[in-house]
Amino acid sequence: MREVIENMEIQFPGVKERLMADGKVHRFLNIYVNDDDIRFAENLDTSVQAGDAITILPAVAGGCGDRLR
Amino acid sequence: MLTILSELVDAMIQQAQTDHPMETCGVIAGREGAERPMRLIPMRNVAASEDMFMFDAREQLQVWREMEANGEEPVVIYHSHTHSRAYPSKDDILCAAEPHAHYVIIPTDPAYGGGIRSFRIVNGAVVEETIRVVEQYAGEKSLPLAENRSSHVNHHPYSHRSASTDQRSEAH
Repeated sequence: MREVIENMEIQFPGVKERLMADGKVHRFLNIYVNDDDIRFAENLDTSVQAGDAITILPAVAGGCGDRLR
Repeated sequence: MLTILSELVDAMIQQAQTDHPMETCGVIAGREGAERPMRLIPMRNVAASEDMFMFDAREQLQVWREMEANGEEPVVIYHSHTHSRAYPSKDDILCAAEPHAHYVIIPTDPAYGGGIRSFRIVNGAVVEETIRVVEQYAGEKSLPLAENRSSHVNHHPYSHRSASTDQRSEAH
């Protein structure tokens, strides 16, 4: 997955910093390989095969507290 | 301004009251670009908390795929505040990532009073908007699908109109 993001950065400069910082995926971003959230696999080390579908969605969260920062 | 069917407002309030004191959350899908909330989808709050909500990432993927396949988008993203006023918190602002969505907050603590409120949240800036509750969207025909009335509450299609409400119009 890390390699995919590096390749995307070459094609679409700037996209990498929208997706990750300090070598990690932003906290409020979900990245899926096929049906699986990479957080529950091997994160950015999750392997990606030809034909896999990658989905990137902003996480939806919030609430009346001040706990997420 | 958010224009929304009264039955969708009722369904959000009902869900928030049922889940109180836990925060509730969900999304209302509508046809892309049409600005009309149509299909209410309650979401699981994986935070299961009185002061936080978070969509289940897997369920979110499923729902977002469904919307994409249907040519829909998330028109409304809603959640409840169970111990505070209906105004976006720091967490709400931090996590608001859909500049086109209407962020609706449902207060369930009578001490904070008031009804639901709707906001646009873009790059950290919050702008409240008025909510116009209607019985039917302008230009929509009355609906033949009353036989679906008993359908599952999780998917709340805009089609549950009775003969009498069908005749009302938002133009009144």
